[in-house]
Amino acid sequence: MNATAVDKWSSGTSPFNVTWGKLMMWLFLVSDAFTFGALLISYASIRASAESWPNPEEVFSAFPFIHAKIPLGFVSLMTFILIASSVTMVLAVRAGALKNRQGVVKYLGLTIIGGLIFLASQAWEWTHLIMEGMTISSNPWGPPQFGQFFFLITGFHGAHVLSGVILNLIVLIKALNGDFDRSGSYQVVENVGLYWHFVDLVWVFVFLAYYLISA
Amino acid sequence: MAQAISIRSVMIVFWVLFIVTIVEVAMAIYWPEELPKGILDFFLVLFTLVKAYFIVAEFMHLKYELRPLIIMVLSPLILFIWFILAFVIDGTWWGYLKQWIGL
Repeated sequence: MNATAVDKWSSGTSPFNVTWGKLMMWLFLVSDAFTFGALLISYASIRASAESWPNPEEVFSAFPFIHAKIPLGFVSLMTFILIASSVTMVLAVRAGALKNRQGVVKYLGLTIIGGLIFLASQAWEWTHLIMEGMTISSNPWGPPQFGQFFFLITGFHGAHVLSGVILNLIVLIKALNGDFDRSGSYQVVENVGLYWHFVDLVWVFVFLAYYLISA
Repeated sequence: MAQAISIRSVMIVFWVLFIVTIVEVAMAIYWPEELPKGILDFFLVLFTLVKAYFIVAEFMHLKYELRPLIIMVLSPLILFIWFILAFVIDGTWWGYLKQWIGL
């Protein structure tokens, strides 16, 4: 379709018609899907072998600044924040494709803010649960493995959100510098966008495995 | 391909994700005790796969890529069928063993 893609593959037509960076990002995401898959499936395996398991609606019912118990209220809010930041990321990628620097800066900035709010929410939730006595070695609601896997999986996901925020920040600074206008390609925005959506995708499955499934 | 991103489709996906999540949470909280939990879990997994489809197809734009790329990304995921079955069956069996031999 375009000349550069043909050059890169040195043949008549490109099988993927994507840039090198984007292809490598997809390959990385496939491998990362298996990393998260391994964590979630080992969690499922331990859970299947346990005699009892805590009811997530009971464990995750606290909400900051409000003393009422809202089952799953806070994590649902965190989910919506992540979905909203995914939407702003799509808009940033779209602005990048249209070579609209102001749009990229605006929407990437909103995405970073969304990611930071999510991280802050997770920090609050962790603090709250540790105060309640749930650590990697103890769990007042049942088997300690619940706490171990909770901190392992949400921590690993949180580390992904943090690195996503840092990557977005780097791209934002480069966009502000006008690097992409000079090179004429906003491809990097799309690559970090893929990573950010993947983080959102993983959260959908963490949400299912940890907060929703009850049997 | 850049032109393929329309604000309309982005907003549709946003509302799908939003509403499906609300439905999931409501089902998990208000599921009647007398109905088997297996049905609930089936629907929760189904709804999660619907959300995953929309994120990957629309947000990650995979639907609009060339077919070889789609196959390259999705075909390794078939391994998850073995992965999930093997480990969940093993965990369940281990749970039974613990009860039988009283570990």
